Amino acid sequence: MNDEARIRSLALFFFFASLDEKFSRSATVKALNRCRKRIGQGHLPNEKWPSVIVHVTHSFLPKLKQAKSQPAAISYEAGWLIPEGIDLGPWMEFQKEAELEEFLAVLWSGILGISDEAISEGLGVTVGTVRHRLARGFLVLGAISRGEFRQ
Amino acid sequence: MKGDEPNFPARSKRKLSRFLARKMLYDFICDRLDSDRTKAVEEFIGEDWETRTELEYIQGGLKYCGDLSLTRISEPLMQEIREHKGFWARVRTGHWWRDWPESIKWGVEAAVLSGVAALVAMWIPWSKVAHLLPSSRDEVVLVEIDKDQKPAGTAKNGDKSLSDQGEGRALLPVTVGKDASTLNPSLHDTAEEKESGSTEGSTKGSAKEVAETRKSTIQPSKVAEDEEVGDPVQGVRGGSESETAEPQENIIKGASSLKGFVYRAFMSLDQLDQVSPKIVAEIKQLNGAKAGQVELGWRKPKGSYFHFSLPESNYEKLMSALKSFGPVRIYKDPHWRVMPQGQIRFILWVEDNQVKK
Repeated sequence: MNDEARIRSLALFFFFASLDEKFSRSATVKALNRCRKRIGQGHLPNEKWPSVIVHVTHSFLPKLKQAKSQPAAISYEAGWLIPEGIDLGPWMEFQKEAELEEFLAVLWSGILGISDEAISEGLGVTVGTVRHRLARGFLVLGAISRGEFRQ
Repeated sequence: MKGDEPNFPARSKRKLSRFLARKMLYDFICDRLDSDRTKAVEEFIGEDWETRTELEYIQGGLKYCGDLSLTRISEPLMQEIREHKGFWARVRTGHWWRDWPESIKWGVEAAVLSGVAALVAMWIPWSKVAHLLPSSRDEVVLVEIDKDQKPAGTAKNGDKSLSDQGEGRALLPVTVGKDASTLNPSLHDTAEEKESGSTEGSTKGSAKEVAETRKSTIQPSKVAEDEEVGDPVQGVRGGSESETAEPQENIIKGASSLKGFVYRAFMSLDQLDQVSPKIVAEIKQLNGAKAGQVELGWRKPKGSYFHFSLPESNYEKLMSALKSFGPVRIYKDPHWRVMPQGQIRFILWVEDNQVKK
C-alpha cells in the first residue's frame, strides 16, 4: 500500500462515514499522522497498514456518532470525485438507519476493499463477527437501494 | 474378503434450514462455502423466495459499494493532505504569521502591547515616582505657620504675639457662650468701643454686627477670608436678653487635621498690674495650670497673657470669675493640639486700658 493509496483510503473513509467535507479533511490529516506514528512505534511492516487504518479510524467513533445525527455537508466538487450516475441518497439513508458497527464494516470492506482478516485484526474481533456484520450491513444497504427497507 | 467390507447405510440428505441458509448467504456470494453447502444453499434459494430476496439485497449492496469505491480523490486535495503541516511546524517555518489575515495580526499585536503596558504599570512603584511628577495645586493656603522662625509683625521691643507658643490661629469660629442669657447690655457698648482697638487676631465688627451676633448669626472674619465666624460672646452680662437666650454652641471646624480646640478670651481692664495676680489666683483655685512655656499672667507691655489648662467642669466657674473683673469675649478655635478628656485649654489676653489711652 503506497502513500497515495493510504491517503485515498483514509479520505474516502471519513468522507463516506461523516458526509462532511470540512471534518473529512481535518480528520484525514490527523488519522494519517496517527497511522504513521503507530506503524513507526510498532515497527510494523507495510502489510499491516490496512489493519492499522481500521484501528485508527475506529478510534474516531465518538465523532462519527455525532456526524450520524447531523445533516450531510458535501458538494460534488470539493475534492471527492464520485462517479457519475451514482446517487448518494441510499448511502445517506444507510448511514442513518444501520447500526454503526455494521455501517463501518461495510465501509471498510465494500468501499475501501480491506479484507475481513485485516478488519478483524484491526478491531480485535473474530472473522466470523466481521462477516456477520457485513452480511447484515449489505442486506440493509441492498434493501435501502431498492427502496424496500423496513426496520 | 469382499464380504468383509462394511456396508454403510445410505446417508439421508440433510435439509438446510432457513436460518442456516440466511447465515450462509454472504459466504455463498463470496464463494467461501464448500461444494456440499453451496449446493444445499442453491437448492434452498430455489425453493424459498424470502431467502432469494435477501440474496438479492446482499448482491445489490455489494454492487452499490463497488460503484462507490470508484470515487477518486482530486489532486489538489491529495496534495493538500500530503503537504499539510502541523501547528508547530508552521510556526517554525515562519509561514504561519504571514498567512494570517490582517485583522488577526493587528488584534494580536494590540493584545501584546496591552499586556506589556499593564505589566509595566503594575511593576513600576508609582508611589515613589509620584513626587517627581509636576502637580498643579488648586488648594488655597490660608495660613502658613513656620514654627522654627519668628512670625512676621513681631513688635520692636520683642513683644511676642499670641502665636509665639505655636498657637497659630487657622480659623476663627465663634461660639455663643453658655451664659448668653446673662449678657449685660451696658457692657455691650463698652465691648464695641474696645473692639475697634482689639488685640491682634480678634474679630472686628461694627455695633450692628455685634447686635446681630447676639442672635447667633455667623459673621465673616478679617483674619480668615474664606471662613465663617460665629457669634462672639459679648461679655458675660448680668441681665438676660431673650434674643440671645439660645444656649447653643456653633462650632465650625477647620481643616480635618485640627482635631482639638482652644478657647481664646479677650478682656480689657484697668489697673492690670493689680488685677492680673487676682486672675492668676482664680485660675489656680479652679485647678488651672499653665499649658505653655510662660507663667500665668505673663506681663507684656500692652497687657497680660494667660495660657492655661483647666478641668472642663470648672468652665462656668471660670467664666463667672472672669466676668467679675469685666466683660469677656470668648472664641473657640479648632487646634491641632488635643487635650486629654475632661481638660480644656485657654488663652486669655487681658489688654491694659491705660496703655491704650
